[in-house]
Amino acid sequence: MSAARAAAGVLLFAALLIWLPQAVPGRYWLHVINLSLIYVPLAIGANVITGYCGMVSMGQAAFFGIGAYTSALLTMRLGVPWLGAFAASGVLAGAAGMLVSLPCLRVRSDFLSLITIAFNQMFLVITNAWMDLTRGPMGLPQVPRIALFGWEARTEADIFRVTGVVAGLCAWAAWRITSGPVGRAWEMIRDDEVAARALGVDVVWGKVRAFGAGCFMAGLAGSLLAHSLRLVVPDEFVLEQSLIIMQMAILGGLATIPGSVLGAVLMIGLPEALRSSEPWLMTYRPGIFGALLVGVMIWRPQGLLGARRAAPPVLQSLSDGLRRALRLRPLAKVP
Amino acid sequence: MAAAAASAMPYVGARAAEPLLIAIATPLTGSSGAMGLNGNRGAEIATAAINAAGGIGGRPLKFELFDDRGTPQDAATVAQRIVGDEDKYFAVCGHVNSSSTLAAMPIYADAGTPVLCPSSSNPSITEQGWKNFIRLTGRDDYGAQEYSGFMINNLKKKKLGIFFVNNDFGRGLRNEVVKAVNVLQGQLVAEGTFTPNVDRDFQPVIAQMKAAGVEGVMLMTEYTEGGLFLAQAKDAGLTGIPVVGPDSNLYDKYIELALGNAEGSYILAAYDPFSDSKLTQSFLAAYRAKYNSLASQVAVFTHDILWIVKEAVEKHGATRATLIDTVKAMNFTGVGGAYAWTAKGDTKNRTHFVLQVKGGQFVSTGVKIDETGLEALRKA
Amino acid sequence: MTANYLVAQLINGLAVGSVYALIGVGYSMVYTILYLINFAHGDVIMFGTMAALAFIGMGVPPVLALILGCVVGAALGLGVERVAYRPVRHAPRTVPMISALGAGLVISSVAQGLWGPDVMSFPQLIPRGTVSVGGFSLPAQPLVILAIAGVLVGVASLLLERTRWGRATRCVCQDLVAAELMGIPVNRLIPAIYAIGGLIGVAGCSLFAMYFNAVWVQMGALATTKAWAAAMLGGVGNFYGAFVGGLLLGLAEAAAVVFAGSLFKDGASLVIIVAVLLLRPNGLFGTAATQRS
Repeated sequence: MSAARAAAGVLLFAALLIWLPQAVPGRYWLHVINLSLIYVPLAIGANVITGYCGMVSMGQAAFFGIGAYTSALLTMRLGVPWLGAFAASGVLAGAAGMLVSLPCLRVRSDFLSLITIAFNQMFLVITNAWMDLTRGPMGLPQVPRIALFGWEARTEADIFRVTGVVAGLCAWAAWRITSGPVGRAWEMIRDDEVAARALGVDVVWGKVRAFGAGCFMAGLAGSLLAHSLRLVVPDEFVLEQSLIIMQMAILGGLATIPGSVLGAVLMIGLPEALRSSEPWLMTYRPGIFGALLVGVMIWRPQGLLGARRAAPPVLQSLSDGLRRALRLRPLAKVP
Repeated sequence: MAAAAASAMPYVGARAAEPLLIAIATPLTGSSGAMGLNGNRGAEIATAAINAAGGIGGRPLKFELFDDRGTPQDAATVAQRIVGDEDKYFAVCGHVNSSSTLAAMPIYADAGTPVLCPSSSNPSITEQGWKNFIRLTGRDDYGAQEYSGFMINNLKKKKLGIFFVNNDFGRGLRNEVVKAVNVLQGQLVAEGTFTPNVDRDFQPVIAQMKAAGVEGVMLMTEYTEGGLFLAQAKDAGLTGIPVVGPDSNLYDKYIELALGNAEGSYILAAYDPFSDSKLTQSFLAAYRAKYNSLASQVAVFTHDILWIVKEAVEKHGATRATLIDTVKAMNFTGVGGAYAWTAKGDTKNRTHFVLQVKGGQFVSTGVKIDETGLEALRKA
Repeated sequence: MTANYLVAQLINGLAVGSVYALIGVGYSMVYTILYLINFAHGDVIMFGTMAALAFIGMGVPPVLALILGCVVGAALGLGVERVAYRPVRHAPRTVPMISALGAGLVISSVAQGLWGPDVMSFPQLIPRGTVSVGGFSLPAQPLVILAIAGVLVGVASLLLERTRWGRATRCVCQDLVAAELMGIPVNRLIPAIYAIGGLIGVAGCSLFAMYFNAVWVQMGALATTKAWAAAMLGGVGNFYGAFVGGLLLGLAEAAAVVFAGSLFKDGASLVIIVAVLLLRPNGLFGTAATQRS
């Protein structure tokens, strides 16, 4: 991308950051947008792990939580300024992700999902039980606001600017990484591990890195949540949340960054759009949403912005050849 | 009456027919959905009665429901929605779960919206310095002291087991019970907990309590798990020992689910369903006629909140801005008894009523809780 | 810790485990053939159990009501297969997973609309009380549940071993493509397997409801998690594996409470499962014939 286009993109983004809060009618919708933006790094992270690297993680909420608790505790107990706590959340969550991924490498992908669920459950048990650190189910109230060099985020518009920048940076970074050699390696691992190994890709390191990157972003999102909601309780990171994050990535489209942004916005925004005081609508809101999910999956199985992808021809024939040589069943062709 | 009300409040005159809107923020779906449903029902009965009596200051009362799903995130979103509509809502009745209230309050406080809470009992809520908040439900620390006092002083049982729900309500109670039992020189020999709405298998905990030889059980749960615990205890042979629980257990389902083992158990209620008050009796009768069940605590307090708003506006000329301060200065008598409030927004001078299950029904015992020894904890 | 206490915990673990086993078996059948994580399984069987309760409330004799409930579960299973699985069967595996999630949401939403969010008690068709066995005083209900579960699985395994249909199912479980090549009508068999899964699952869920005297809309999510854990533990490619897996899961939970405390019940049992999977990546009895490299 040329320098001029890049500069134009940045300017456009900055303009959006300044102008949008005024254009949105009322703080409620701005709040919904903020919540969506907080989930964007989560969705992108889940997409990196699942869409680009092919591992289904159903425990992202735990890393979300690790980020939130890290950030809240550092600012509240140790007086660390927000920016430092923010960075630390990402690093800690990313490190945790890498550690969790290590045992997952030798097992089948479904067992990996189970391990991520187990990790999520263990995170909940620990946060609920470790009263001295997390105050258990009673949580951490009055988490300080986002503060940068003397400026505090006091309104939804302020929060928007921060979450917008973070979401934008995450999206940009993810886009750069996934379109580079690292991303290519990930996609090869996803499409055919055996062939990837044959081509010299370090599969183990690739998977660990994918987990690390995805969970790093989840941790950053956690910090944003902690300081905008200003309350951290274990209930915010239950398994249901992990499933929602997974749905964001899949609904928007695997292996496409804009898809994750759209997925996050839709999964947060649609239930709010369906919110109403009509009694029947309130009871059936989850069901209507579920029906929408089923419909979208049937209509566009690749996700809303996903591309119907087939493996690149070189990889495909190499893969076939290798499998024939090793007397393995050929992989089913992607339609 | 409408004319008198109108002349007492000139600002209302021209808009007399415009409905007065209260936002009820409550979990309607999700694991706390049953509580939201009960609150909704209490509100419906109150609204019908208030409007039959001329509304509030001549304006019909209307409430709008907002589902916070029992999660802090949704509670904050709901709060944003409510305050986003400027002054559309006169007041907020909500939330139910303590963590939802904690998440939503900063937003209401910022916008100056008055909040009357029917059911969040976590002590820390009134310690955050919010000036626009009052609640009708008692604090968990005070409640825990009462339950422990009753078990140890009145029932004279010292070797106790505690079974508590693992959320902020149950854990908060558990921590306070530990303190109180300590001060009263009792002994907690067994502890069991469970994840609400997920864990329904309590046999392992019951076996532990039996093995530890508990003389009394502190049942710090909601009615569902309270009843299930007792039924499973009966199976395991853990019967014949006194059980004391808070009024979160005060609901028909508690007796139903206990399969006969609720007989003789004590519920310490923050309101007396058997009080002689005509108001209480007519409300409970109306509730039972319409919904075929005992009104739970959430229903009672939600109902009273709407009547409190009516009295504050009509008798004391409260406006949206002065509502909370007005209420704090009021003494109000409703279905749940007599209320008065501290400056922080907690109720004061309310006693717990000792109820017992006899013959498959809740009955009033009229026993007073022996509070000896608890002053040490109440110096603050 | 007395012997009586430990034995009581053991029996309790087995009873809960047999419920998990029944729920897991139905789940495992679908999973084994299609490698599909069926998120709708728990909600389907919850709905069938609540339907059974509704039938009892309408005056239908209890045993008939339970059978009808199982039929409802089977029908709903068929429905989920038709609507949320078949249209996306050729898509990458994550897609049917999400559509099953959506289907589960719809089912639980309708259940809440029909029956409300409250917990409801389930008629006690199995007598409660204690029996004396070999000098130990044990609760009767868990033993009865264990027996019923054993009978149900015994009947199911007879069907699998002795009938043509059963053999066809086992072929499909071992290798879908080969079965197709051999002329087995896979397209008719798969919906049947969904249906059987629903049927057995409702039986398990009803036993759960009776044992704990509680049935409620949210129990679907709980059932799915337990079913999946049981199936994983028992192993892929093996119908009986899920049954044993369920029993072991129940025992693991009881053990967790005895040795670690009730707070860690859910977490500890999951840790045990993860440990087993790390040592035996295909589960305890898994064969995973199609994935051997």
